[in-house]
Amino acid sequence: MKIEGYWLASGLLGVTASILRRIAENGADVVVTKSIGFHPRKGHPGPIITVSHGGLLNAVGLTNPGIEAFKDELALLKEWGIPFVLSIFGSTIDDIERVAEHALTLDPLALELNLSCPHAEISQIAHNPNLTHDYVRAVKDIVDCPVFAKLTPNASDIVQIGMAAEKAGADAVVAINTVRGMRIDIDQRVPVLGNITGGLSGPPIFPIALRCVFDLSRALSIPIIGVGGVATWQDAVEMHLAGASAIQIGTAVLEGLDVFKRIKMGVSEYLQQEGFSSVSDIVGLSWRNL
Amino acid sequence: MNIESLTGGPRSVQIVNIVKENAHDRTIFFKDPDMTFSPGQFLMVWVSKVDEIPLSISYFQDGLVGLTIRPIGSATKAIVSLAHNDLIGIRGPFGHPFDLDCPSPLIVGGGIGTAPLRPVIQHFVELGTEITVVIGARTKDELLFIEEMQQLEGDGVRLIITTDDGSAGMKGFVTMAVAQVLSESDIHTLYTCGPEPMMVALWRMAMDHDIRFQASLERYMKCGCGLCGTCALDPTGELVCVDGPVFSGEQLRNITEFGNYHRDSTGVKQNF
Repeated sequence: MKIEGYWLASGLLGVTASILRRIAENGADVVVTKSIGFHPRKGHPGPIITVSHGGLLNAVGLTNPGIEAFKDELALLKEWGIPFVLSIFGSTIDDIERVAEHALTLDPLALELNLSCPHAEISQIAHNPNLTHDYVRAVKDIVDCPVFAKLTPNASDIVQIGMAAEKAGADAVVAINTVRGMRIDIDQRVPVLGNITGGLSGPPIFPIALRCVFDLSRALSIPIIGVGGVATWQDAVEMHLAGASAIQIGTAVLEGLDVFKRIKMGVSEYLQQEGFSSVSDIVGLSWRNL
Repeated sequence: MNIESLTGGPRSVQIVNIVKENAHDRTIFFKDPDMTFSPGQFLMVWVSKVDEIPLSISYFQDGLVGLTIRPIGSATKAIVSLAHNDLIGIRGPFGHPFDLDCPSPLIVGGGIGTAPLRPVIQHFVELGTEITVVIGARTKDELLFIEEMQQLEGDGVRLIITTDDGSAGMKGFVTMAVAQVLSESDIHTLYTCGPEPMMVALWRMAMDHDIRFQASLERYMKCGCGLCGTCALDPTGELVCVDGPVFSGEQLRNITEFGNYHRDSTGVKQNF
């Protein structure tokens, strides 16, 4: 598959085929499903979202119906011709292999491995290069579709993790997942989120995501899929300049599903005005210019 | 992008009054002077250390807000056990409200579904519109707002009560009473909220009589503001939290899951 365009990020809205189709019809080039595990999973008690300093904090907790029930939704996406990437997770290598095996029968464009949800027990995988390598390799060994590794900015050295993923055969890395954070209600004097801590997304994390994409892009030879706080076409251009070939959009869907069209049009006008023929001309240009 | 307002401006409020509506249901009141509200909208309500759930607003006047709750799950049970001066977290109001442009409304509430209809009734009473209200429940102990409605009866409100077991009002379902109203009166719009099989039956009756229909739907909801996707409807992908909870008869015609199934907290389909 070509790694390009503006995609729905995993974790938002992607629970049913109907809503994913609606997002694709609104301009998303690819939709990434919510992360699916082997068993149905309720997730954390509410509140699962709150706000902080212009960003969104969430602790959904990997709510999903399990791969077996989700197959019906994926079959519909296939039937409707909606390009989708399936995000999967597992708390052990055996677990993620089992999900990947089931997933393959539905023929996704790619599998995105969630190795880094910051508010679930799987959060530790992408902190450790060896674990990251083993998870990516295990899935690569049993599937023939592209495999993406989603990385976390909470790791002490995201580039080391990216390199481990590349060495294990990842076809791209997705950077970044949400940034660990929390909020306390000053009237009730308790943490707001049901899970106490959560992941920050939205505009406040954009500079963090940009830095990660920039560093990864310089160090790796596989494509980088940029995600984190992109809400405008200017953000998208910056993300491409840092090294992102494709961009995922998450929190900005809060403003409306037309965000994909708006960003696409803005980037395309920018390229035209600046005399570039395609996005690939500007991917990583900021560090190539150094 | 103003994430604060798009996610409903999370804030804590203090309970100022609790009203016992019947044997089980309670209405809690709090003050939120800056809130704006249209009948049919809901709040996400957080009880510390328990959960956050969507609840329809059943009363709204001069900054005083009421929520009527039936204790069924852990969060609703926790809310009805709260006391005066306790704090709860709220976000919202959220959602697409009722379209109240109607010269002759028929308002039909089933069980706890009567809660979001009270502001609708209030709206028409204030306008001086003559309305017919049908309130049904399984049994007398589960009827809502009956005394209040009886007091309004002189003000152009025609009230019909039904109970499945006949312990108050007509014995039987609200549909029986509605069939009678539709055969006798010239109704423009049927407004309803209650168990989904009841709303499906009413929707069919409204379509047969060629009258407009407005129903408030309930689906499992985690964010309330169009992010989590838990409340998406098949096959349109409309979200109950932002595109609803109120849907028109025309919209419901396209929603194949209406009356057939909903999804549980994990996203697995459950038949009605």
